[in-house]
Amino acid sequence: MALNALQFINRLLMKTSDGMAKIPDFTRQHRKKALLSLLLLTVFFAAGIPRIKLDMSMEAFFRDDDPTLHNFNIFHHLFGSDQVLMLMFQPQDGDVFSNDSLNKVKALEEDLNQQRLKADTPLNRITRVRSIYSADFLEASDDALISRKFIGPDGLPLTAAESDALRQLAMQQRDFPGQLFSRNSKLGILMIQTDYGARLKIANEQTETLSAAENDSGFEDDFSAPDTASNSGLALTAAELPEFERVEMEEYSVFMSAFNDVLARHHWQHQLNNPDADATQYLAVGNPWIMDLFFSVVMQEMGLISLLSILLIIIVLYFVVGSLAGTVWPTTLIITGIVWTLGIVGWSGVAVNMMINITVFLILTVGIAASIHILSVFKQMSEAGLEEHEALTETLRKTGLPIMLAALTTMAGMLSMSVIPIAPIKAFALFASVGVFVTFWLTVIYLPTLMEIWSPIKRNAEGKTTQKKRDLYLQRFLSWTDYCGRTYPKTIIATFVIVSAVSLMGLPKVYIDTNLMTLIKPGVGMSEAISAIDGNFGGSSNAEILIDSGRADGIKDPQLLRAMQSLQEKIIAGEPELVTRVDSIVKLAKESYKNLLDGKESNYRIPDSQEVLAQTLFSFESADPATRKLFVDDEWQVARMTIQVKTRGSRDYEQFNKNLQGWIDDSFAQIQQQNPNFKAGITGSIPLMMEMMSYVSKAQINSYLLVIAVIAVLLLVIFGSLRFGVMAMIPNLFPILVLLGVTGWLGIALDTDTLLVMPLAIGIAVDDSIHFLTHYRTELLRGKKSEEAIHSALTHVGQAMIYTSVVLSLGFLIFVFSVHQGLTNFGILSAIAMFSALLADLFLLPAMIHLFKPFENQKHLTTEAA
Amino acid sequence: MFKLTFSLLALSLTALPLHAAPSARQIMQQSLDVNDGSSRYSQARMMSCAFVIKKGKRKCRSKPRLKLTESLGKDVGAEGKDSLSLSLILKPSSEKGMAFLQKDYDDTEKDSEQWMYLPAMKKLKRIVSETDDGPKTGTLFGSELAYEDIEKHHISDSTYALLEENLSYGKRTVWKIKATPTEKFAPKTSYGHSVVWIDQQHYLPLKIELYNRQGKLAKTLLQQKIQQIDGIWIAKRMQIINHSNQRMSLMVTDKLALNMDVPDGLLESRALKDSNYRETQMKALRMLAK
Repeated sequence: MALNALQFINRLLMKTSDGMAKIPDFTRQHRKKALLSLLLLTVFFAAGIPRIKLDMSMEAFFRDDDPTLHNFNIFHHLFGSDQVLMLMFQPQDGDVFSNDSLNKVKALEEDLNQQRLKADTPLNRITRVRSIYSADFLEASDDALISRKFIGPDGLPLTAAESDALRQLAMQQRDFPGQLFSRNSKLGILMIQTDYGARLKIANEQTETLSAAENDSGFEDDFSAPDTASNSGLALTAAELPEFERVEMEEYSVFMSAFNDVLARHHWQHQLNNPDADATQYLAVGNPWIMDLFFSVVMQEMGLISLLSILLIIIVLYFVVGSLAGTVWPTTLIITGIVWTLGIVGWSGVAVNMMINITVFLILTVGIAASIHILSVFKQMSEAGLEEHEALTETLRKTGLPIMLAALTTMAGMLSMSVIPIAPIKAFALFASVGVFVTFWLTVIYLPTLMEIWSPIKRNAEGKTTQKKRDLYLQRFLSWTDYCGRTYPKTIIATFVIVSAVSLMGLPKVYIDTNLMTLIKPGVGMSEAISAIDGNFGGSSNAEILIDSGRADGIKDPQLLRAMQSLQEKIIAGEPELVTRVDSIVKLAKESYKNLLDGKESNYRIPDSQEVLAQTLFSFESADPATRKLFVDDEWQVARMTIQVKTRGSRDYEQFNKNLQGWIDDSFAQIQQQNPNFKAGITGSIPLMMEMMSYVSKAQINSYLLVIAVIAVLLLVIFGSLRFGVMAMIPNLFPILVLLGVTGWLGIALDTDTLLVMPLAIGIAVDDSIHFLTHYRTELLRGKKSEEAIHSALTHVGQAMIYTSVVLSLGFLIFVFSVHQGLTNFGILSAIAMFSALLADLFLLPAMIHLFKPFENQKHLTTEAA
Repeated sequence: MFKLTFSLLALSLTALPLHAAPSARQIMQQSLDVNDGSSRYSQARMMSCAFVIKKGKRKCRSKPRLKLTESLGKDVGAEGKDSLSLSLILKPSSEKGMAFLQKDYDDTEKDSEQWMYLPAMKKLKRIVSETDDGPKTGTLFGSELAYEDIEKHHISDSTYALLEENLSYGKRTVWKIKATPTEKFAPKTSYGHSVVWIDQQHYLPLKIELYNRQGKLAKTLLQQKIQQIDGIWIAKRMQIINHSNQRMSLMVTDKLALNMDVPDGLLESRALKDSNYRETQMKALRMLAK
């Protein structure tokens, strides 16, 4: 059976090789039709590109039933947006409380407050502006509660003594120092609350049908209690939640640009933009700012760097190929491949995200590799004295099959990633494999045709070609590698084993982490702002806990508030490095109670009686429902606890989340026992983002294991033998081991960006070994001895392998210049992956064949089959 | 802060003679000047819930929260343009006995005066709000009706445009008027504009649509069950639909008395504290209410 299968595969492969060899003749006969169809199809696909739907939202990464995401939707529904733009400012005179500083804050705030009322500015996203200037202040006496602005337009200090008095008073307020101004009062904070993520999508049709119904005087909405009460609080299902408007990433940019105009008007300048001596300096954080940074800095830069990278690849390609035609044609076909693939994305209507960029680089990788192999063999054939069309036929006979097999394995690898249940990865996997196929097809079909129109080989008067000096050196080097493999196979294998072992030892140090602080390199204001705000104001991020009492008015319960208080104490005591403040209705209840009694600090506590608590909270709600809405929902069923945290990586947050869950379970154990409807859950945009990153990274790693497995099985089938398959797989595992070793030993965190290297690494490594082994096997089939076959494979395929690796690694190394650390890592690691793959294919693979002689038996079989 | 109950009813009451082809502003002025009696007593139920839309009807998603309140109001001042109002919570039991007293001035320069009584703590507090930089943020008894929605409106706060002149609204003929806040008033309201359906017979607004600053419908106020009591037109049912959070409230007036004698002592802060005195006086008023 095995024999028959093997024979079948061998025949199939031989037939494929012969079929490939016919392509140049075929396209020559139908050249006009071929070129016309290329043009028409390209126009058709190009028309699809504008239809590409980008979905950059974080939500796209989650399954609809993800609990953190679901809690976050409930959070938006109950409490509105959590997106705050935080501006840390440093007045020019170094004193937040000086008349001059406060006047500047006042002017800016008044301007922003005017802007946010307008209908036609993106700044109407702002719901509230808060600073020490506009902070509210409650004065309590025995018979009156007076709420006023702490400073406000009438309270500006005129003299230094008044400024000092104001500072003294501000320092005594519970929530002012460390939140609105730094304790040394040199820095201030402007909090700009927005409604991002919380604007409801109002179904217009429904509103209209109802309005029409109101005209009927019999119309009345139904206020009776429903027969079957639907869910409430955290038990709400996705279907019961209203739909929110989606925020496109560019909206943040439009917002920030309008915001920056206002800042410029008031002579507020970013600390890193060489501010004038008399300017108020600032640093900013918060989701709107970060999204803008990504959209207008990182993404634009990424476009530029990608372009530079492609340009560099073309230039290096020209140098290694040594002819203009040999550069122009592959480039044309690769660009065509990109156009076709993007066109297919557009016409398919499937939403994609930034991962589609990687598809472009994958197409580049596959296209460059295939073209270089074709060009290289074509050159060798021409040098061997073959006529042009003969040379083309023989080139395709030799390279067509390995190119196809390489494309097939890469495609299969990509396709196997599509089992991941994360929509953007699924789409990426699908379109990446489409891209690989399209590029393979274009290169194999059209490169020969185009090469006949304008040949990359210059022939002299007698029709001969000359070998270049560089190629001679390369051939000498390849002969040397062959010599090494033959003479010192054990030493070579031992070296690779040692390198692999050292890499493996780094494996435990490998970690998955995404950290906003290190994601972007210093210099653009991200890490600077985060460390300044973390240092002076106790945290630039926040996590949220939702506490659902399970019934309306359930929050007005002293026992529950005491449990919440104990949770807050546990959080602060348990994470003193990470957490500085926790806000909730507990603080408001204590403050209101104190003020209703006599304003004395000794009464800053949760009232014991349920009735007193209910009345205290009622009076608070009547007075300040806007603040109440920040902490308790309209039914008084769900409370929110906001934990201000310092910015850390997803790994730290993951641990923090675990601790948090433990404290939640502890604090509410008794309440949970008495009340089965009680629930508590963690949410917030930072935990969500961190969870997303770690979720995606883990899925990526799992999918790569699957990719490797699928490719291994495929190699096994292609080469029809277990030994061959294993032999082919080992050099492909080496670059992956090296990558893991490098990231482990150098402490580079694996994040979603870094992990994108893996498919590229696997793709290029598999390509190289398939080219090598196919050539080797063909030589075996022709009756050559193993040693001769290895020599032939190295000298014929080795050159193309080296060129491909040089061209692509130099191209990817350009990403080192990105402000985005992830892209920088991507560039460095891609280059490392390609070079280690090259080394494994040039040294390890031949050495292994020499030492283990795994194909002695097969040689016998294959000869028979032939 | 504690702008309370009766300004609401000020929106809703009584008729004035009709003029021919009045301007939008004149119509609004008449609507604001509608006679609502010189004093009023009412008992009302306030129900609030999150809604879902089923078969073209809004339905409460869960059992609505219920507040039972009692209110007393009286016009005071030289021209009877200032007002005093007292509100008491009867239900739920945890809030029973909470009482609010408010004095509003017609003069826009003068701030309202407010007192609150919390029986569980036996505390009477005067409430003073000096933060006057935005819209009134409170809501009436935790309902969807914001103080801002029921605040005493001044004709000069907005500019008006007549959208439709003889529009049928149910069985009524109405004017449809768009009101846009003036630049000066804009910071004091959370709405971008509103559209009001005013009944051509008795000048009561039957429907008000409040739009947010992005021009999206934020709330709809409906006045229903309009009846003539002692010669004064009054809506006994008011519904507030908050589209931005999909909640709605319904205020139903169960008992009502107009133009009766109200002892001055009942509208003083000591009446909040002295429940014996208050109850004795209120008893008589309750007898009058229908």
